[in-house]
Amino acid sequence: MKNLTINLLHLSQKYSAVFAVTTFAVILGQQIISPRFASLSPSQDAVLIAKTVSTLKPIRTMNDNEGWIYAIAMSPDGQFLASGSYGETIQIWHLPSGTLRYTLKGHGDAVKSLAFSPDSHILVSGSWDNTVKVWDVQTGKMLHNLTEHTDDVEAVAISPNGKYILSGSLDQSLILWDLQTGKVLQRFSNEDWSRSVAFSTDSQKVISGNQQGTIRLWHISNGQEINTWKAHKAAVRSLAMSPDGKTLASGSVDRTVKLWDLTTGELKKTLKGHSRAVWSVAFSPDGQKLASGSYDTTVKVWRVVTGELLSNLMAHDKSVWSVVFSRDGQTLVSGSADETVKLWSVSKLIPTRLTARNF
Amino acid sequence: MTFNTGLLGNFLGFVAIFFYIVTLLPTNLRIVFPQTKKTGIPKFLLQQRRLIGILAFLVALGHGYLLVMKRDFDFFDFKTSWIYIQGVVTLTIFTLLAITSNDWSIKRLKKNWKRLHNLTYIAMFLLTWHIWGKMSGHWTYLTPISLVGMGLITILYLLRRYIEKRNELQKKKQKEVPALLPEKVEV
Repeated sequence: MKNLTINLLHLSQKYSAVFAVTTFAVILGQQIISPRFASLSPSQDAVLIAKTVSTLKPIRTMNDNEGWIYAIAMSPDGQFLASGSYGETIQIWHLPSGTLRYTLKGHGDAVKSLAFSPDSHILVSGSWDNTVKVWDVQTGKMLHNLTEHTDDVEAVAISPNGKYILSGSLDQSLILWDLQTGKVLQRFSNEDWSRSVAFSTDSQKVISGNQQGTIRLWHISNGQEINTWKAHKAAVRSLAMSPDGKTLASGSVDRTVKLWDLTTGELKKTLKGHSRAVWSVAFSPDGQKLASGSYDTTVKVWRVVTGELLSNLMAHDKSVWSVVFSRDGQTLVSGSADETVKLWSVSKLIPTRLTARNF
Repeated sequence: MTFNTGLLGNFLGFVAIFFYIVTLLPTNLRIVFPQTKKTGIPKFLLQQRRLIGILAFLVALGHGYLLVMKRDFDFFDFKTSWIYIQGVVTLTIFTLLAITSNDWSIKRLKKNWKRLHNLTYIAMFLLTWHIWGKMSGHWTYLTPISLVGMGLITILYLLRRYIEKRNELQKKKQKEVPALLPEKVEV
């Protein structure tokens, strides 16, 4: 035993420099080759995208100087826009007047996800401080501080019927909460980091997208798992349900957006065009368009039926973390690491002649 | 079997701090509490310091790796790099120390080796700031233990510096006193 210790000590002394350099190189290498950051090789895809640059300008730009804007949400009545950032605050903008209504403070770390209730009265936020907070939009007061998660809360959603909150965390669990009381109704063990969550349109199923690229579905009523499938080669960072409840969209670090038949888990389309990780996806209220935001700094708008790329919006300087459509479908909003929220007129999105390849 | 790598990241950070504190102990104990020499602990720790230091670096690297994965840390974005500046600088210091923790480096760097390895004391303050800054608002049960550990080793280090300064002054005075005395006293 003593000899072994001496040998180990001797080896570590002899090769410590090599060991240190190698491990440091591994971490840097991982950073550089990671699909989040690595750009596509100059392939046909890259050329396609270069040709589909839209000159469309945003109709309004709002600054949130609290750091990267991770999350945005628009109230269904079109009155408020909320942005959550690295700076631990949530800003609530009154859209008709364009003024900042509240800056909500209370989180102890970055605000990663936001969701409005269907009646527009409640805002829910999920943060890296492991908490989910429920806010009254009219008064700016915190109604509930939900503290069951033990690690970063990455995603929150409110059910379409306005009864439940769903939160997904890096503690490998999903929690279903009662929106009114803040009580835990159900826990779903995910066995992986939950990076994105969504409800089915009938509010009967919960969906999670995971770090390893898997999508999982559970029944709310009994907590039983319905379906699991390997959806992407890397983390699923965003999920969105189509308004008709039939199609699920997923955006992934593997740079693709995929459309799935929710009932069968069958792949309908793969939308390929982003050159880096896709952080966010959102359906338009009519279900005809899908927007995606990416680390490649662009917002892309796709025609759902054909997979055609309608527009490639390039006004952000940094990663686009969040995209959302207004309830009337007239406005698309994007939040970015460049600390701005940009509003785009959907009617001005110019269809491009080039079609994204489907796989 | 599944591992909650989120919490593992925090745990690795805690272990790295523990090893780091252990590397600082021998010299500080020897000077502040000379009686500990009799126990042989400072001597043993001193003998193993290189290995413990490299372990601290490797565990800190694991902690950094998991946090990079977890938080989408972007080295190429100045803003996020600045948010994690204490961690990044500390890991850089640990890397430099680990790379030069071998006999060949000691021979090549000569006096500069000691100067370089004094960077370890800067990491002491950076790490306290790092734990406080990153964990405020969501402490775990490991956070207060880490902060108390860092606080104690910092106090021990400051006491050591005070004792060393005091001893230096005393030595200086002892040298100055004979010089002031006349060489011969004639009666």
